[in-house]
Amino acid sequence: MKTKRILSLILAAIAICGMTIPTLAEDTIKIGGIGVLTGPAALYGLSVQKGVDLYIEQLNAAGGVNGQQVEVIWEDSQGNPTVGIQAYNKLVENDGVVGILGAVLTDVTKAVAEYANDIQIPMITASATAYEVTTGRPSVFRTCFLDPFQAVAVARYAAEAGIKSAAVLYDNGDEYSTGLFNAFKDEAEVLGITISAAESAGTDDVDFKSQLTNIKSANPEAIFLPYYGAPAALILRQASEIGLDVQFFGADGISNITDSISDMKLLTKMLYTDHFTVDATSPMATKFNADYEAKYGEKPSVSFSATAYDAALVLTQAMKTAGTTEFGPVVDAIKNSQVEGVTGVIRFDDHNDPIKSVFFITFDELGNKVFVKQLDP
Amino acid sequence: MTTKAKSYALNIIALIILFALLFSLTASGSINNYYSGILVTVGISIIMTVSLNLTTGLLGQLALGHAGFMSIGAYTSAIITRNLQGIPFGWSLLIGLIAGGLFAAVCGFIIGMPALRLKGDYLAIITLGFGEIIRVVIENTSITGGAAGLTRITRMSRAFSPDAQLSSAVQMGIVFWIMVAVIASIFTLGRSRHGRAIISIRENEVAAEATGIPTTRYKLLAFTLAAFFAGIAGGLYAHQTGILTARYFDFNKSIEYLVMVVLGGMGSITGSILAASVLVALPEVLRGFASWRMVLYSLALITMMIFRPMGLLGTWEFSLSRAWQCTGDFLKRTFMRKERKPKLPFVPHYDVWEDAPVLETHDLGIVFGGLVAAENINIRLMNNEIVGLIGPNGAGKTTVFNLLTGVYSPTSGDIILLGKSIAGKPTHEITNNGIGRTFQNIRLFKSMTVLENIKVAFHTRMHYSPASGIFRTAQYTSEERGMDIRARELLRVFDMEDVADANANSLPYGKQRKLEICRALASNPKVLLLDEPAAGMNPIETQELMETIRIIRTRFSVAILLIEHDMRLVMGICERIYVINYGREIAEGPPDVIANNPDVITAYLGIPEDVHEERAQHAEN
Repeated sequence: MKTKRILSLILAAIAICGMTIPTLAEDTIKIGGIGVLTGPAALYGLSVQKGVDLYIEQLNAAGGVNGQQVEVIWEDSQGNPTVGIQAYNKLVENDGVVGILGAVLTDVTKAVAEYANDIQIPMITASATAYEVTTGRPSVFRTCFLDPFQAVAVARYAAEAGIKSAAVLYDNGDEYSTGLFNAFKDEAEVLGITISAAESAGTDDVDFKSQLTNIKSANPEAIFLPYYGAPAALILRQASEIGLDVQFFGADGISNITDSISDMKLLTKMLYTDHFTVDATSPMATKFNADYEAKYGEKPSVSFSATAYDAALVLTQAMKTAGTTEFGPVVDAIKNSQVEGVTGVIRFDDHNDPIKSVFFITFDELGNKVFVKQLDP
Repeated sequence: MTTKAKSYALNIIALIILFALLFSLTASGSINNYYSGILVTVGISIIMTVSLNLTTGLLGQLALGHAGFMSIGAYTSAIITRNLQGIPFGWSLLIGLIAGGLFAAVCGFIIGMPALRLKGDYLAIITLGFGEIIRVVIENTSITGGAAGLTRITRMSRAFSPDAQLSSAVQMGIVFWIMVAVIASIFTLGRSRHGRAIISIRENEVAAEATGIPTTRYKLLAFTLAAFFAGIAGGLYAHQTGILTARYFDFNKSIEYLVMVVLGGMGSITGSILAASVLVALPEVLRGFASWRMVLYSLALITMMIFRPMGLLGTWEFSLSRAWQCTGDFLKRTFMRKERKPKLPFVPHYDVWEDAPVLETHDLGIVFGGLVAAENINIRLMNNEIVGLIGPNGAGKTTVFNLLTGVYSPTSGDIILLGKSIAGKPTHEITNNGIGRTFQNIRLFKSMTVLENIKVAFHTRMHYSPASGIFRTAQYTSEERGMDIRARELLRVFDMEDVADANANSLPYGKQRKLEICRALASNPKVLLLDEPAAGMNPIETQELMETIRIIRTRFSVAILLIEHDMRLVMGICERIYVINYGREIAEGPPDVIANNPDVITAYLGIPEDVHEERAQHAEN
């Protein structure tokens, strides 16, 4: 008796929960944005968000995609893979998005990409530079170049400048840093540059003097620093304190170094590679810089706002080309796209990486970025 | 059906219903990947929190590296499933989870061995360091993928079936049942003799040791077990997310779980479950508030800690059978049967030790640095004797007790208990060899019930293993049941049976003293040491105490040595008295002789004026 009643109650509960609520007709195309919007790495996530939002605003003003307006729903990953996956699941399952822009940090992107690959939803990251992100994941793309690519570019630049011996100081707890170090070392050997010292430090270290002293005694002509802005600023200051006065090279992580350094003169010794420069002269780039400043009241500080703008551009352009938001046709359209973006013409190779130019940038004594040269693929 | 069997049945039915509901809703897609992801994360957090509660709540030791054990389990299991591609994923997952748990347990054992011997906050500092060391080691080892971590780990939500919903449902089931198993085993362990031993350490480590609990061993057991469960939780996490980076298992992660334990209530398993569920779900609920959610989350935490400083549930536990009883009392009657009286598993033995002294010291002494706290102490206790140990304040009486119970190791002389030397042995061993004691300042296991206080002392009289405690084998049942009866019997002797289920700290002062004596007797001593039993008692209570001591002597056949300042009590019940002053024995004999001994009077009252002058004259001459 009793059990029967309980059983019927359970069945009723299942039935109620199981009923699907009829969804309203969609009048917008929803795209999910995932990025680290809070915490120490928020600068990167917020830059990506600003770049995407800028493009989508312009797109909607120009009529949207296939007659529909586009809406980007942002979710914070907190720079944590688990939270990133939750954000992805929420966007796909609850909001019904048809594409993903992001994530921002490499490990979060790798976690989310694995899920995106399950259902082949188109996903474009503007900032995950590790090689492995797009490997074996046909629906995952990126609009930034790769760690190995920029490390190779730095090595080539150094070789052209006649440098014969270089030292490296890298972060052994950070994938970005170790990846750049390995690629740089390999290419340097090919080009005949001697790695006279390879020193490493931990992720949260703030004192690099013992490593720098070792490097100084090896007497290199240049030092490669695959670091983000804040630690790189510390290293530059400590290097000058121990009288280590040589040329420094960096990669795209350096682009926000001006936020962390007080003595701008130190920066004149730094040369780094970037995805984009505000001094770029193409019409798209000029317009982007002007629009960005008009909307946000500041110049883009991190180049990821430009690559993010391009990611949104590529994704929506592919939806236009495909004439639908179905995953398969959109992924194919991205794969075949040839789009003029802010950071140059974007097309994808077999590994879903963009084939694009590298910008070499240094600083003047006031800390302004100075465009040095552009290296085309 | 007995009440216990009924409560088992009830819990199992409730769990099966819950599981069926979760499984079918996930398989049908009503619980989509987003919600099932949250539920699985809740499940893993519950395992982490409940296991941390074993160390922090039950054992009372602050551990700050729980995420370190989680990472060991996560990496171990991920590496194993990756390298065992030949066999079905279900099996390799099982092997991986167990191996991950075991490896974490081994690490826990190695860390705990030195750390847990120390008192105070050392464990917190050592575990804190350990968590960071693990992270750095993982980041610099190639098999763990270095800083990049491990990716493309087979995910439970995809691996079990080509149908993604069904596979998600299987994942839900796996996490659900492992969670249930962990909760159940910690719950049953907590109610076994081993659990009581662990809790008694939290309540009062000195008293636990003096009651016969090998405290170091139990600290290690709890800590290792917690590490084992954390390792399993790590394995589940690895195969849920499919990606591992060492960065994730940092100090903050450990703190996150600690917050859950504190919020839920230290020592309450139900509280841990509730807090883990709330704290995992809350950020998801607050997603809509964007960047305000961290503020709201912190505010919610602060508010809860202000209004519930002991945590959401304190040490309270939810019991389904209790709830059932409240709602459906009428059902109880239909289930009622006459309960069989269980047989006593064994009768405790009280040896008769007639001719030789039960306790004897030979020139016992101890020196602290340059200070001679006791020397040449020669005490003999015959069976069934009540002997007093008196002396002015600071004479070294408690030092003698501490020497006899192994709190201090003597620097000279020997202690013979029942013909065997016990000098230098650890306290718990001495207790188990036949010395029970009480303390000058009462040391009860305050938040345990009166009955549980007694049962802690029965610890070494039971023999079932932790495993049979967890699985509640027949041996567990018969021993526990027997001890329950014996404990109540013991309380009845002292007229305390009516308060058996009250909390120890709710008793009036006199009864707390009595309970402490009762607990000392429960360890089946041949010698009972009472340190100022009448301190703080009014004359009526003192009178009662004298009665009690006489009862103890006749019923329990023990020799009693007591320290006391209340001369009426000492003179009233002691058959012989030892007097010590400045760490030396100055007199020995029956009460009337001692009362008139000039040395004793001098020791207590000082030298009379005229005698003083006389002596001074002697010195001049």
